[in-house]
Amino acid sequence: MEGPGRGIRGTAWTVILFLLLPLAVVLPVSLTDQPYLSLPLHTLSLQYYANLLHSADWQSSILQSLLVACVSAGIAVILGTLCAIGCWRMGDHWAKAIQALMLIPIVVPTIVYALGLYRFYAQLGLLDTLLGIILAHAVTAIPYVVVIVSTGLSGVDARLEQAARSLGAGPIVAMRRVLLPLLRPAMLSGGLFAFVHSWDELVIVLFIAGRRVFTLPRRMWDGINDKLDPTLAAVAVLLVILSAALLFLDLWLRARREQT
Amino acid sequence: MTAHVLEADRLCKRYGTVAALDDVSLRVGGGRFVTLLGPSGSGKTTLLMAIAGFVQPDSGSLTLDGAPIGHLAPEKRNFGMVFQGYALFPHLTVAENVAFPLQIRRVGKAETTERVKAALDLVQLGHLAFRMPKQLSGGQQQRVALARALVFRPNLLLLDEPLSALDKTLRLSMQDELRDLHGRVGLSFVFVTHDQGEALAMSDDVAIMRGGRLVQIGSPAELYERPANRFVAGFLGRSNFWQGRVAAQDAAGFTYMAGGHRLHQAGKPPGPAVLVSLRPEKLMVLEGAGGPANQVSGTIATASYGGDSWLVQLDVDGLGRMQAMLPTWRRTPPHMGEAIRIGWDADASVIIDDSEGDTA
Repeated sequence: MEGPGRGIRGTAWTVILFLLLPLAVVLPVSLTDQPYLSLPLHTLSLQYYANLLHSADWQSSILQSLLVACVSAGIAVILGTLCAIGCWRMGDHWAKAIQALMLIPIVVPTIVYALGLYRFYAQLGLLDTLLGIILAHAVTAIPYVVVIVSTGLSGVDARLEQAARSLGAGPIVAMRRVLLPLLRPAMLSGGLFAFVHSWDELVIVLFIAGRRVFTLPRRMWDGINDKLDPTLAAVAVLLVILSAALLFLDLWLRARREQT
Repeated sequence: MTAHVLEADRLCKRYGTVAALDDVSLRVGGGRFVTLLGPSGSGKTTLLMAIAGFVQPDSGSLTLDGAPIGHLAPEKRNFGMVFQGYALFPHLTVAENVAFPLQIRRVGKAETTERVKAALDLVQLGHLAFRMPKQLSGGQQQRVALARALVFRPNLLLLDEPLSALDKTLRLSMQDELRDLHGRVGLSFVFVTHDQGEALAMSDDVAIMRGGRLVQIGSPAELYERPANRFVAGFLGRSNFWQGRVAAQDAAGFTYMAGGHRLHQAGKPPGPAVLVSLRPEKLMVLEGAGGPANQVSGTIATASYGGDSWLVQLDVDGLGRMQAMLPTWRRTPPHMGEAIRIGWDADASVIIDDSEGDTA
């Protein structure tokens, strides 16, 4: 018999539906005509999308989240790429140890990490500041960049750098003109992951943000706890669309890398 | 173009307990083609990398035209280098690869275009300037690497086993091309290989390395005809070896006893015991009376056909198994068990040093 059996197919589809249905529910809820989080009763309405456009709170949260995600992704890409290149050059057991160390922010439960940050930031005066959130998100995103860029580096011939040096390029120029162009797809991919990581991060924000910093996930969290405001669902739909767009961008980048 | 003189003086480099370079001195200049030849792990690549600046020797000095360069970073030495596997930049076209060293040196646009074209024409690749390296064959990539290493008019060209990735036919034609290119650019080349045939065919000088030491340096003919020791004689081509004890000495040479034979040798004996080396192609098959000074008889054990000659393994009384190269036009095919007489002139064999060359 060809392919998997009925039972296995059925299970697979059940799992896929279980993963996707919550997303599908969000769309009709965002179009509700009711004043609270529910499925539409009489008619479809775009009022909560309009609300999103006119609400200063939601807009400020979107802007804050964009700013935090972009800057923290930028920092993570720079530091993560440098770390990956350094480990690649060393290429010994120390490099392996450092790479393992870099994975700690992924391995340690976020809530434990957030608790530590809370104590630490209190002393540094970084609580409830954009800078504090940006730094926290950058540090926790570095592992994604290190892993992705290291994978990209594994396909790079170490002699390319020597060749550039022998042709007259100093170490910095050799990196800028040879290594970085070859790593650009991996860095972009790492940057996308870092962006998404920050974009929907809630736990750390709940611990270290107070009145001033209100990122989008935090605004949504508040919305669902206090008011059951359907604007929440409208935001969720936009988030799903953005995440899907980023995912496809990443897939497209990978496909292009394999072609060249 | 003036040919620069590179001198390596007493270079040493250790990795842990292994001596990769052990007191190596070498002089390269006068536009010569110098080959570093040795088995893997002999230190030939380490020596090349030390010259290029990628390996820092523990001691010893490197000078170019008398000025020390040991402290200079690789990019400051102005040596062209062709790497094993070519190391072409995969994200740049052929022309951009060749233009790279000129852009680094801030050569003007018009001059860059002109020099890139000239360099690509030098290796007959002008028509492929806008291809990506991946779209080229191994031989073509090789030539791009050469053009890129020559376009900035380096002081010296270093080549690290550049032909090892090519198939045999292509390798032979690239050998000719490389020789030809060497003649045209007037630069000294330092070429690393583990292939003896390649070294003999291409070089002005061959430096034989073993265990981090430079065993012998000389022209291919010198090394082949007058190997300094057993290692060189065995490493470059085939050789027969036997021991003897000196019996008598006269103006023309000396006689020695080996395996019950009284044999003649030109030259002076280095001591009472000698090690004799004889190339298989210098053994003659004797028919009729007369002939060379040394004559022995033996039985053919095996014979393999090689087109221009038979390689024959002989069992010789007292001297053991010997190899002989018999021209195919001279003889009816040799067959197993056939008894033949062979001989060689007193100056056909050489006395060599009975060492492997890896100890001082």
